[in-house]
Amino acid sequence: MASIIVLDDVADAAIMIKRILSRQGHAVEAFTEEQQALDFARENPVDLAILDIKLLKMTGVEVLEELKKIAPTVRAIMLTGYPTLETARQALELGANAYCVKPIDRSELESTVAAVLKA
Amino acid sequence: MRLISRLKFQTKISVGTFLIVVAVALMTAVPVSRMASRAIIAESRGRGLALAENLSLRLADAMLTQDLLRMKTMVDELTAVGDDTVYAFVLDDTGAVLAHTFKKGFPVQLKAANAADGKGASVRLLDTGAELVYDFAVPVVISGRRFGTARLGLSRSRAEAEVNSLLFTFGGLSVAAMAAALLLSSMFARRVARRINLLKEYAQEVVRGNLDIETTSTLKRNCWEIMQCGRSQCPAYAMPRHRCWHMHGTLCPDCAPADGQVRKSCVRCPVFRANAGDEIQDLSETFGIMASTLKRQIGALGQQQQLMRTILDATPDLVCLLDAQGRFLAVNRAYAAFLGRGEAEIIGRTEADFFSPDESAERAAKNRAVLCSGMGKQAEIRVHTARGEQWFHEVNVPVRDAAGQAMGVLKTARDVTEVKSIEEKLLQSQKMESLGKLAGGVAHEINTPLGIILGYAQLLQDDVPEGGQISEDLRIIERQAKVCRKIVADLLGFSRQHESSMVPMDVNESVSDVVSLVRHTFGLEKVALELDLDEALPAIIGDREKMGQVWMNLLNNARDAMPGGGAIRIRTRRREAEGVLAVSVADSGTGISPAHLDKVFDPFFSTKGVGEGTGLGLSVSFGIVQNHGGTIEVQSPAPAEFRPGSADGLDSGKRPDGGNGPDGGNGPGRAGTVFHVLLPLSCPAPAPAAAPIFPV
Repeated sequence: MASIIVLDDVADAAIMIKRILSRQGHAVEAFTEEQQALDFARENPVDLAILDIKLLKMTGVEVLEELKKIAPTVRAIMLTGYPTLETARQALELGANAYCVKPIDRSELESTVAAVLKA
Repeated sequence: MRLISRLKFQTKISVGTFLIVVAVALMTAVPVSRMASRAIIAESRGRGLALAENLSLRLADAMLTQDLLRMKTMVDELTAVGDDTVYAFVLDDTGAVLAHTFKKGFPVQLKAANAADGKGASVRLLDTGAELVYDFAVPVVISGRRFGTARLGLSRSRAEAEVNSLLFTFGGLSVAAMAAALLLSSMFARRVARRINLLKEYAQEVVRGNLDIETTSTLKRNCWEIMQCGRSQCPAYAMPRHRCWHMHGTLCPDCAPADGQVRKSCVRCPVFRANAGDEIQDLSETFGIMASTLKRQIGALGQQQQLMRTILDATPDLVCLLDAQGRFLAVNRAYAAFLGRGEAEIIGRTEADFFSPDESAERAAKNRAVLCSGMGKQAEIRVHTARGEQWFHEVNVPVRDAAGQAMGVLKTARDVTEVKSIEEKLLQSQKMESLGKLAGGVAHEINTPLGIILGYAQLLQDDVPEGGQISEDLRIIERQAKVCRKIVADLLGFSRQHESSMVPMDVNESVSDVVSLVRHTFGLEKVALELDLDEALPAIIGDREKMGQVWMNLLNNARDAMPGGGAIRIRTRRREAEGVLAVSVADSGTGISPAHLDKVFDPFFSTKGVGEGTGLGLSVSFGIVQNHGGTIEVQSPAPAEFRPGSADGLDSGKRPDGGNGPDGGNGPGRAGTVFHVLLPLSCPAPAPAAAPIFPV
């Protein structure tokens, strides 16, 4: 099973994703603070990061950029409630593996995570 | 006087000249005749006196010698000398007759009829019964003593016969002169009258409207030939029927301007001396120039009128001119068309003849207000016509006469129905934009909690026994949360269509970006994506984000049309002939029924079940494309060349795993539907204010 971090400025949303993916057997850590998530990634191996685009201090794209410096092999799924082609392209250029629009469906989340981890 | 004034000019000249000659003849002949007759009579008396005195002198000797024979001879000689001597006789101092010329005896009464008193002669006029006779009595005096009287009778009738002869001659000459005068005056009058009649005919032609008259003849030598000037720019040059001295702006150095001084300089000019005619000729030439000037001015005026008429008739505004009583003086073509009448039917009538009583009263009140105040007024008015309700921007201004008095109202009305409609649409658009922003803001805020509700509803279903009431309730919560999610997504799209950022963009790149975004998701739903891109597409000016949304909407729409999976083919082409760039998105679904084809772009139109779509996707796409100056067309079934799986340009390398119409679903080859997005090659700047939110 994979080690996954979830970063969302709304704690309930992050916890919900953690609940869904934990049931799949993944080790999931939920964060609302960008720095905490990056610190965790520095200290622990992370297979997948699920990042909201709109965060408290940074954008999800900026966090992805930082994360890739810490763990270049980490995979990423971007989440946003306000999708734009610009952020989608930036995220894909930085190595994001999927770009999903909120609110994300449970089955969509599970299948996307499965596909990204399998790829 | 009336009779004289009705006489023809020729008759007047003839009669006038004749009467002048008669008057002159009478005035000269009568006094001359009188003078001549007096002179003849006086000469006759003088002659008789001279004869009598001469007889008296010659009688002296014969009286002294009492030679009666000699006396007789002497008196007989006198009667022989002139025809007019009627008689002669001699009396002695006692009054006895010494000699006489009477053949039938001496009439004794004659002795006392005249007497020479003293020594002087006496002349008396005697009436013999047959004629009048001057009787001359001259005393015969010798050495102061009177010896007798010599008497001589001279016929006055004969002198008068001479006078009459003279008068007859005078009369005859006068009559001959009058006849000659009558003849000559008639000839002169005819000549003058003929030229004046010619001018009268010219004038009548001008009155009849024929201004192409030639009142003058050509000349033997024209001015440019006499002067050998060669100035072809001169207005008199090559104008053989126009005399240079009547024209303005001639270029001869010696020519004075054609004003009051013209003739002074022309008198010495060889052209004038060679070609000038009399006053009638001048009048005729001036008349000809006047006619040609009139023709030129009428032509210019006609052109001006035509120009004004063209301008008035070409304008789509309704223009009319009313007099102070509200009668139509003039209307333009648009106004006549508005009333549905001919221009001739409208002129002279009032607005009351064409509008309802209420409307005409309102219009009359407006006209009065303009006339009374002398100030123009403008307003937007609503008119109910056969074509429905129309809005006009009406401008009424007073028209003043030369004295500055308002004599009528000039009314112009511009049809602003479309502007009004656009204004209303703009207002509606602004309302919808505000609504969209509000909805977008609310939707965005709802998204996150909605996602959590949806997620936990799904999670909880794992924790309760399947088939139980709680599980069923959670499924309902999940289903309705998904409905909310779809509504929110549509509302977000709807709220974002008004923002715009136009930059040069590559359509192929935009399409590829969207395809790469959805390829994975579509692959999961067994929907294959084929790309057939024209690599030579030019860049267009557009909003990358909005166009991406259009591709996304079309792709989602295509996917939704194939619930069991299928293929989507995206083809980009440049259509040079139409000046557009076409992006065609074709699916292999079941197609759209003809009844629904013309409704697919209507907002909130959807064939999907309740809770599966808001019907805003295509409508939003249509609005975006329209803002880019383009349009979206739909064809169902799709023509063969657009269908997925057609031979050319199949992007098989990018086909996702498991795609290409599995399980006998909506596989490639089925007719399906194709949407063509047509964008102008040189995309104009967007006009969001004028663009409707929803296609109509």
